[in-house]
This record gives sequence, structure tokens and C-alpha cells, in this order.
Amino acid sequence: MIRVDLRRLNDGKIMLGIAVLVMAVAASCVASSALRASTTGGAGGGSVDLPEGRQIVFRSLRPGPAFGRIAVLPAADVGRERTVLSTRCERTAASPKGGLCLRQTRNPMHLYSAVLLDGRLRPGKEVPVNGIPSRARISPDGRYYATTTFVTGHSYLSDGFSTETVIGRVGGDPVGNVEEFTFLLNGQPNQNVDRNVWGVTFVPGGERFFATVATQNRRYLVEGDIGRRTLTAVRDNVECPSLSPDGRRLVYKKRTGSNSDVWRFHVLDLASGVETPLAETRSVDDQAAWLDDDNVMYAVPKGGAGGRNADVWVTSLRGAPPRLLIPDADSPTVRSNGHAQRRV
Amino acid sequence: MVVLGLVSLITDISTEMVTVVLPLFATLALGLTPAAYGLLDGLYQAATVLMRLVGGFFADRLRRPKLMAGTGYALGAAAKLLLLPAGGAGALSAAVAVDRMGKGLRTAPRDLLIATAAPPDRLGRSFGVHRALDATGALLGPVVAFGLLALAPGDFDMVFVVSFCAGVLGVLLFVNRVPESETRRGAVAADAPGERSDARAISGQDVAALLRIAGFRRLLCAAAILSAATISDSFLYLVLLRNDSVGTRWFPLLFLCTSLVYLALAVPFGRVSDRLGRHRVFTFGYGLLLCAYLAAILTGGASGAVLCLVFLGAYYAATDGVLPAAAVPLLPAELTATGISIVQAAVAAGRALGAVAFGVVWSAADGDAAVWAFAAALTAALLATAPLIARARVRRTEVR
Repeated sequence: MIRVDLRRLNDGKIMLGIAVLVMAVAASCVASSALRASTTGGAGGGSVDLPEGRQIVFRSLRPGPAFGRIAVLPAADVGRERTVLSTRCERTAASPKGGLCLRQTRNPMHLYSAVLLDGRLRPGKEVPVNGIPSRARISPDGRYYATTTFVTGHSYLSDGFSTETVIGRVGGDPVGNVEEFTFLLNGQPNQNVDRNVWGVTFVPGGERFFATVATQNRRYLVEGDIGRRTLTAVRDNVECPSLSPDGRRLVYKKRTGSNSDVWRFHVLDLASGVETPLAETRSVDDQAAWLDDDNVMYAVPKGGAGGRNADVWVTSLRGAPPRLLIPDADSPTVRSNGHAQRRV
Repeated sequence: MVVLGLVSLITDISTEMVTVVLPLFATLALGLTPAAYGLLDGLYQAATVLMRLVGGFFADRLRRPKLMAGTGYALGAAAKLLLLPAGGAGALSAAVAVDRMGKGLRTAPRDLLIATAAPPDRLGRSFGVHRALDATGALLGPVVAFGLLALAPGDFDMVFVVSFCAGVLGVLLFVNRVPESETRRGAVAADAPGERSDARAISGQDVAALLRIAGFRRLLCAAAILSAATISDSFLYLVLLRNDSVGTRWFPLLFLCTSLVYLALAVPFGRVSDRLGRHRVFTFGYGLLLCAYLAAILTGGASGAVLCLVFLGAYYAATDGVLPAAAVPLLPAELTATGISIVQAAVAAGRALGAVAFGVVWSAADGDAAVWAFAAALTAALLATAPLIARARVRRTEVR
């Protein structure tokens, strides 16, 4: 085939023609893409009416101009048309006081940043983050936020990749990289250098949080304390915890099977220590979020693991099978608009 | 061979712009974990080495290096197109596999074309020119990719289309402007081409015979041993990072600095190697690498990091193009591509071994100790291989 091409392409004019054509294709593709990026709407900054009451804030993955933008639906009526905001994110999370958006910047030296959103989810202060966004969470009282990113080229020692988890204080000094907290394993400070931390979930109203620590190929559920700067191992073989709104239960991914990479959602009752598998039987790679005290939601890639688009699914703790909640969406969290947060 | 360099430049822009965004694409758009992606990547590095040998062998066997290299370039371009509908780990790995296959296939035949086009006494310079243009492409690729992503954040498909177009341009330029290689100069005089040589295709036995050429065998052993004492760039950058010489935010600049030094010195070092002897410059290159190690552990701060990177870039300039230039005169004309591919495979295998060993030492001790260990290993390797390399040279084509 190459041989045939060779004879024909030896004519310089034909080759020049093809070259020009190829360059035109490239140029038009860039132009149309840039145009789409600059003109795409959704609602303009500030003038949006957010739905009343409890809202689900998520990332819309509907193909077209809305792709990747923050969107809002009333939790009571998810069948409604979504309200799409103008901010594009890779991950997002919201609290009654505001929100968080991890997004790509236009600065090649700092490819990603965390943007704090105000009460009406409009973008405000922007701080750079290291690496590719993975998880975003904001505390229910809106005081703290946490970002987890994949840092490539940071460490080749543990699982072949490295995460960086940073806790920030809204309107104050950053708390810093959680990896530098003291890690207490069986009551003893652990000095392993290959430590990785990810998947923070905040305890309402306090300075505490839960997260995942990985070291020496093991994963631990840890309870963290921002004031004392400690991480205390609570359980192992689980990751990506998420605390219920009433603060009594944790949902997390638990590795099932001996050496497989199959993870299943489980719910832990903190008071009794009883662990129950969720009705969702798929291996989902997401940090779940609570829709309310009885339902958790999470994003499932369409067309199996590694699909380019995703849907948000919901599973009840009461054992009903999982169902589709929001099509073409990921990164869901719930905020109750204007209502005071319940204390534990 | 400037044209070949330009082809490499365009192709490298095409390849590198995808390489830098692929981790982002895999984790963000496809939702794969970096661990899964890293596994994929490592797997195909090994496959590339195998394809190099295949590319070299068949370029010689079919006597059509241009066809082999052209196929490699075409596969590389096609791989970018495969990324467009990629909707999962399977599709992504298929695209990456095709890309690496193309890269593996084209390398040795392309080096043969460079060697054919160059007069024997200027091989070093020719390879230097090619490597400088190649490095320029590798440098521009990420710039183009991030520039495009800045225009349209998150639009990976657009980056893939542009990369594909660049790849096609490279293929067009290659097909149209690079002459099909003739049998190498010098060999033409030795046996009349077309008659006897066409009668018998080369076989595995001929390849085995290559290893019986004393000079080539010595050079091959030396290259493999030295490569095994090499710390991979990313590990060296990590050491700089851990020693707080540079902050994480400057990480992309480390690669940039190394590449700039490499492309600036590739041609001068190539010229010097033609005049003073390729074996000397090659050995000297590994001396520079030793300096890079020492700079990484003995000096601190930004100036120490820069010093380390300058040494690292100079090491690449003194070895990467000079090694094939040193190997080519040792090889019989009809087996040049095969020989080049064997040397490259040995270097790649050595480096892979070195990377594993370095990782193990680092896990057991710490970064500095691992660098010290490798500095010691490299010194020992240099002492052991310097006589091998000196005896491997061919007086005929080298002035001194």
C-alpha cells in the first residue's frame, strides 16, 4: 500500500495539496474547539437562580456546551431540567456556605487549580494545586476544604503513583499537606516515606475528618485531627470514606477478594462497628456522597470502567437495588441551601 | 538527513504532545487510576524494545529500510486517530500499543537511512544533527499540547486530531523527500549489489554472526553495562525534588532544561566525535553522567540542580547519537539496521534493569544512598568498559 502511495505522492503538487489540506483540517479543528470553549454559555456569572431547598450540585457531562460545567438540581425533583452554571470543573463539591471546584487553568506551569465558590456557587479565590484532580470535598460548615490530586513523577515506590492531599481553610491560612501529619498505626507513629493520603471527608462542626492512608501496599481508614495534625489508623483494606450527614455512618470502598482490585461499597456504623455491604455490586471507583441519611450516590462510568462519560447512581441503605439518579453527570454532593447544619 | 531530522521533529511534536496529555486524558476523561496507566506504560516500553529488533531485522532482510521506517511513521500517525473513539482502558491500550509499535519499528531503519546518507567520516555529526532536531520536536510537543489545552481546556480530542495531522505531515515529508537508501558506501565497492546479495535474504544465523564481530561485541557489552548503571531521568529529578533543590512546581522545567542542553550540544559533540574518536566522546559522556550524579548529591539549591541538569543534557548529547555512529562502521553493510537495533535494545534493557535496581535500593535505603550506590557502580562500569570501548573502535574511519 505504501508502495502505491509512494508513486503517486512523488508528484510534489499532490503532496503539497494533501499537506495543505491536513493543515487546514488541524487549523479548523483548533479554531472550532477554541470558539466553543470561549462562547459556551450556561448561565452567566451571578445571574442564576438556584433551586430552592436541598440541592444536588454536580458536574454536567451532557455532550455539548454544558460538558464539564457545574450544574444544580433540586434534591426533591431530580427529573427537572438541570441549571447549568458557567464554571467548568474536573471535580466539584458544595456546602451550604459555598463550594469547591478543581479545574484546569490556562497556565502550563500550573495546570490545575482549586477555585472556592461562594454561597451562590460563583467562582472566587483560586489557589494552584499540584497534579491531576481526583477528589474534592468541603466541610458541611464551609470552614475547610480538601483536595486530592494525582501527582505524576512524585514517587515510584508505592503503588506506582502518588497523591497529594491538601486541606485548606476558607478565608484563612492553609492547613497544608496532610501527608505531613503524624500517622499513628497501632498507637505508634509510623515513619514510612511512601505514605499517600487521599479521599478526605469532614466531620460536621469540628476539626476532625476521615481519610485513606496507603503505605507498604496496605490501605487504612484513618481519623484525622486538624488541630493536633495527626492521622490515626482505624481500619484497613478500605478507601475513600464518606461520612453521613448525621455523622453516624461511613460509606467506603472495601477491597473484596484476596488479591483482586475489586472494590465494593460498604457502610460502617461508627457506634457499633458493624459493617454492611451496599446493594451496589459493581466495582465503582468513586468517593460516594450522601444524598440523605439513607441514600448514597456515586458516579459510574458509562460502558464500564474507563468510559468517557458517566451517570450518577443512588443506592439505598435499606437494601433496594441501585437506580440511575442523574444521567450524564459525576462529582455529586448535596447542600441544603441556607439551612443551619445539624450538630452531631 | 536534515530532511530526516525534520521528519523526526514533526513526528516527535505529534508523539510528545499526546504523551504529555495521555496521563491527564486517562485519569480525567477515562477515570483510570494512575497505577493502571503506569502499568500500561511500562508494559509497552518493553514491547517497543522487541519491535526495534523486528524493525531492524526486517529492514535488512527486505533491504527496504525506507518501507520499514515509513510503516513505522504511518502506524504512529494512525495511533493518534485510534485515540479519538477511545472509551476505555482497552481502546486506550490498543492505541498506545500501535503507537509504540510504530516507534519501535521505525527507529533502526531510520538510523540506517541516516548512516547511509552520511559520509563515514561525518557520521557523528549527521547523527548529532538528527538528534538535535529530534529533541527540538520532543521539546515543542508539550508546548504545543499545553498551548492547545489552554485555548480549550479539557478538549483532548482536539489535541489528538492536531497530533494526527502533524503525524500525517511527517509521513508525507518522509515519503516524498527522503531517498530510498542505497547499499552503504564502501560496501558497494566490496560486492556488486543486486546480484549475489539479492539471492539470499539474511537469516537468524547472520544475526548471530554479528555477535562474533569482536569490535561490535565489545561495544555492545560496554553499552549494556554502562546503561545498567544509569539512573533514569525521572528518578534523578525525584532526587533533586527530595533534596529540596527544586520545588514541585518547577518539575516540568527540569525536563526542559535537560532537553535544551541536549539539543544545543548534540551537533558540537557529534563533530568532536568525528574528529577525536567516537569511543572517546562516548566514554566521556558517561563521565558527564557521573558528574551529574555527584552534582545531585553534593551540591544543593537551585544552582546545584541546574549543574546536574546541564551534565545530564551533555551526557545525552555525547552518547545518544554517538553510540550508533560508533557502531555503524563496525557493522557489515547488509546488517547495519539489525546491528543498530541490537545496540539500542541492549541499552534499553540495561536502563530498565537499572531503573528496577535503583527503585529497590531507594526503597531499602534513601535517595542519596541510592545515588551514591549508582555513582560507585558507574565508576566501576566505566573502569571496566573503557578498555573495551577503546578496543572496539575502527581505525579506518576515525582519524585518530
